[in-house]
Amino acid sequence: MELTFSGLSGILVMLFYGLLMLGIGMITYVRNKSVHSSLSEYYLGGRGLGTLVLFFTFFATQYSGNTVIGYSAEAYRAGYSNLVSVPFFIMIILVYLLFAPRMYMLSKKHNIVTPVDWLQLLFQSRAVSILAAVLMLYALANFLLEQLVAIGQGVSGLTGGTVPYQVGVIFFIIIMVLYGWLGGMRSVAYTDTMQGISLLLGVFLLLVGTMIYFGGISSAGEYIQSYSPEKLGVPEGGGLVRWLNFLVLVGIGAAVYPNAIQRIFSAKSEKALKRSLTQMSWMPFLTAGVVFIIGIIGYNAFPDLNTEESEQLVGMMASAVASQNLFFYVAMILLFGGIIAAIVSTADSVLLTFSSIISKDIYGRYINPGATDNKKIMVGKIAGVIAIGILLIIAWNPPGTLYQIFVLKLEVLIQTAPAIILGLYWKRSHAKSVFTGMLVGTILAACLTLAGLTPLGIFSGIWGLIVNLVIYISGSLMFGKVDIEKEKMEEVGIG
Amino acid sequence: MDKKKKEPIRNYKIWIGFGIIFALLTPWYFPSGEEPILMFGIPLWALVIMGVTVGLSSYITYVIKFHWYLEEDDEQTREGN
Repeated sequence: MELTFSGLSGILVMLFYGLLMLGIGMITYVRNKSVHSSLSEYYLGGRGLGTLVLFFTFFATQYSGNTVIGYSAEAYRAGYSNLVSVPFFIMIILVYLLFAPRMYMLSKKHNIVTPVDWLQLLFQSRAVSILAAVLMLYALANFLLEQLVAIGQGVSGLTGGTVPYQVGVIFFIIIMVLYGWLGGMRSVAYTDTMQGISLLLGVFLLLVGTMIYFGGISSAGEYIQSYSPEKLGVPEGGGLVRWLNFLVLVGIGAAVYPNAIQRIFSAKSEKALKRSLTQMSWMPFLTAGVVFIIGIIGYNAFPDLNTEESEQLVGMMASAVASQNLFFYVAMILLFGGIIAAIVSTADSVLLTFSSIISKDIYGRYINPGATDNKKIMVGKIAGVIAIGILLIIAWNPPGTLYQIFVLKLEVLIQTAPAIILGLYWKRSHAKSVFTGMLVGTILAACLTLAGLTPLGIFSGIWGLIVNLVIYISGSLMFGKVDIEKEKMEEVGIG
Repeated sequence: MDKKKKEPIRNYKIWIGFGIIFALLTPWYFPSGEEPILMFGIPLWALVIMGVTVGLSSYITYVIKFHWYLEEDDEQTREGN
């Protein structure tokens, strides 16, 4: 991203945000010395997150810096058919209503720490748990990789290249790992609060600046009508299918993000969870909605960008706004600090969840069940650092072929949704069918993605999900024994 | 089952509401290929979709507030489902 904050001011804002995050981590550590005493203390903040912090940590997990940069560029390119980005973020909350109420209640009762723990509770099946753990770790690693690359690009763009890509990534990784290690979920959630506020403030100021200097949405609409009216049209045919795909894929896929699910477990009370989810259901208007408007106003400012150039849209607009006066110069520094903070805040929650699955589900369940929680936490931390090391090597030397393997995320994650959601309610669920559905769905989704196929215009992840559900449901109808299952369910408190 | 305990999944009426909103959330019901009508520079269909989206958020808010209450769960609730 191009921005004229080269030199000292860019470096200062980066240092400021980095040290602020570290400071929050240290304060959290000092105030909660027992943070390493148990898995739920470290990974779930002692199940004590109140409404405000819980809301911001949900917010930071769901919205990354990518939301601002990528979505405004897409709105610029596609026009109004990209408006779907507002409702699809709300669909996530709708999907939560399907399972979060009971999930929260049971997670508290059964001391659940990770989403894999949850599946173990539902199915008591080693095959289901291990497959789900592998899929989640894989998707989380890819998600983390994406964030690491974004940090590097953001920092080098913000400072006009004064701070090189590699230095930016290493600096923020060290900060992130340090505050994560110090305070676990508490540090992550508190820094998320700071990071979320910076992002909201920055995006809001960018909107004000673009409206003042490039005209409002009304003049942008008239401009588009004259020069590319197709961008105002109703999506039809393939466009409608694509729209629907997004609502379903993002709604279900993002709701079962392991790091998002862990936030349900971390809620202090049902009331706190309810309040923060209510607030989350309105946030898309202030984030995706505002970002969409910025993309549309972009037409007025820079009418003829090609695809590659349009990726720089936010940077170009911010740069133009910043050059107007001192107020907006400072405001745009805040914006870019906020964007980087938002990327870091998404990355930290992914890393923490990654470590928790290693600690609790891989090491703690299968390798050394007798280990103390403190040791499990240590193993999770080390595994997280090793994973980051490997991802950094990939980030710097992207493999020429099969690069798409590192892009698969939602397509894979969504395959765990039937087990997580349906498994909660359907007593007849048959573990082997659940496993087979998840495995076949994943393979199908991955093959279609790698081959670049979307039969009938339906996304690969949704094809995988359909096949996955068919196998799950038909297998459970044929082989599921309700009595035995019921007994098991009652044993674990569902029934 | 204790009447005070409420869970959205158990109330099918809620999901009829969500079904209707979901059906209206995709702009299939606008005439295609016509010159878009602009209001304040925004296509009319996009304003309608935004209206439905506000409806979705409002309905979610309503459901969370009035149809989700499980805390202080007891065995009785689970046996009743």
